[in-house]
Amino acid sequence: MTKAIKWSYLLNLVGVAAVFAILSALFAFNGFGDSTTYVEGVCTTACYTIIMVASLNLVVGFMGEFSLGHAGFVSVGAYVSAITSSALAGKGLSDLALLLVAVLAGGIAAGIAGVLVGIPALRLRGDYLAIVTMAFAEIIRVVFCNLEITGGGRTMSGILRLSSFGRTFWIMVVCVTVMFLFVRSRFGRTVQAIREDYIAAEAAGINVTFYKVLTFAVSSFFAGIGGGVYAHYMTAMIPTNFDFNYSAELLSEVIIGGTGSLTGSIIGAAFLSALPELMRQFSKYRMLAYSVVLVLVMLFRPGGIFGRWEFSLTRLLHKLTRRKENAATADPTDGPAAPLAQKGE
Amino acid sequence: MAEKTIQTKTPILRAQNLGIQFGGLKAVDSFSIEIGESELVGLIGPNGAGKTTVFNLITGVYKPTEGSFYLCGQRMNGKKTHQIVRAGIARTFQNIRLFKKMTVIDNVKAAMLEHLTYGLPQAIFRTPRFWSEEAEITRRAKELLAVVHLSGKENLEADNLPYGQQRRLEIARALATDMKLLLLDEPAAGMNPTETEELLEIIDYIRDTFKVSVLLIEHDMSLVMKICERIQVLDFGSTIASGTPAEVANNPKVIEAYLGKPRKERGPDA
Repeated sequence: MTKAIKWSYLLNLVGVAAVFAILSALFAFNGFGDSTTYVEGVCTTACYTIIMVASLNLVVGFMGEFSLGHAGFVSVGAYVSAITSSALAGKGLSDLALLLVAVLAGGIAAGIAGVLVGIPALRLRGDYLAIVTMAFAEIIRVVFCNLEITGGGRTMSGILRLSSFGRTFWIMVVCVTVMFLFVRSRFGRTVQAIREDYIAAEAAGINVTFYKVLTFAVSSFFAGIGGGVYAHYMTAMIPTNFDFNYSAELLSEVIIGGTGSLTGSIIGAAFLSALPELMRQFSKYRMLAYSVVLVLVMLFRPGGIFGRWEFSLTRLLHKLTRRKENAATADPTDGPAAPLAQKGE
Repeated sequence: MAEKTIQTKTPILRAQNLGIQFGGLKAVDSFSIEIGESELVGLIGPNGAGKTTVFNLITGVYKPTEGSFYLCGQRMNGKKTHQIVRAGIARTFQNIRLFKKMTVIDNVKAAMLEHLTYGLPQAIFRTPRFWSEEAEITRRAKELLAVVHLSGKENLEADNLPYGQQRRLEIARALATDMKLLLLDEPAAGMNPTETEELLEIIDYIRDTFKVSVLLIEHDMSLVMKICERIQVLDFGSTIASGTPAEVANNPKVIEAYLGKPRKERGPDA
């Protein structure tokens, strides 16, 4: 049992490292020709977007509550980490340590904001909660527009450029792993029970409010980390970057990827943050094409690309070694190890 | 309504003049009951008599507007549902409420928070304590599934179980909370005779092995008469009779509540 688990951890690590090695090799040897720097930028964007989207999925997919204010937590993380790094710059910390401290500070600040918002807001459900979270994000934006320390509505520039592709990638890996471990523990089980039926969850002895606030805080924490990485990659930002549109974009990425599937979030975030860039040649029609893609996915895959199904490298390898049939025809949803195969909601 | 219980020690559940008022409507009025250890008490009454409301009062879904109730001598009024469940009162629902999109075993494990003490750091670093506690509750959950005859179905989605098995899974989930008192809200509703028979066996087995008391709402009279040691009858929120099945069955008030008054006896005051 434990040996199999260790083996699967190792396998996933190897898989992630392989992806990293391929990408960084491509970037190092100009694999994309003239546009290498550009592609690297798109990949970095995808990495921190994955953190934000996966964290939003904890609330939307696993807890089953709509949050339209995720950008608010992202902005808390972004600003707090930018302020932290400029305060600590030149204090003898290495770039990496500085980035980690700043990002962690951003995450903690966003987590605290999550608790403060969550305690009153999570008494509500569904549409009401969505509106409250949206209002909260607007409040944060207005506050940042009026604070001196955040640039007072002007662009806050001169943030140290600490997020490289490699660092962003590994921060993303750590964050997503921690979220996985959270979901696959008693916490994830409890939160999913609340999603399924909160009355029954209470009758099973679950303190619904506590676990909701906890999950909301964890989700905000990672949103803040995503924001911190974002700030140190962009080096300049303005509160209006984190408006309702940004929340809606993150939410659409969660839904396209699959609510309740972290691997789905990874794919959704990577796919949707790269899509507008990939379609640059359609110039002014690209936003139209983007919307059409969204509509098509929703029509043919109402539960998102992945639904609730999680991609598993271990399972895939098992399948490949056990049956020697054509791997391409194997339907990933009907494996014996996937009893909760995807189902359209 | 003389109290027929032999009082040896503190009863598991004692309710005193419990009542709740919704606006002008007294849904339950001065409801009193005492349930001893391993006792099986039936709660019956016509539709709308307030049986499920009694359950909702005892599990803290509604706050009683009058009276109080005690679990093993401990006052439970005003506590939240999850606190009452942790203290030892578990229930099933009239219309099944399972965690539909979760596996059968996860449905049971979700109710086992009591046995899990690891915190966030232990979960994230996957410490030995995490693994041992998870292994322990998996073992216990399998045991409980065996009790309700659901072995081998652990990894099915709860939603995909047939109706009768869903009802039994709800009982297993209630058992997982380690309760002293089990409230069953129409457990046999919609079951065929074979399934009902199986359910009876399970209820008997649970009482014997786990030493729990059961309060049962049921419309199937033959079932109630067969297994309950005492029956309390509600009508319009008030208790109209209580006693052994035989006593209750012959009580004119009960017959009247279920069938109405005989025509010739119908007087001017109703």
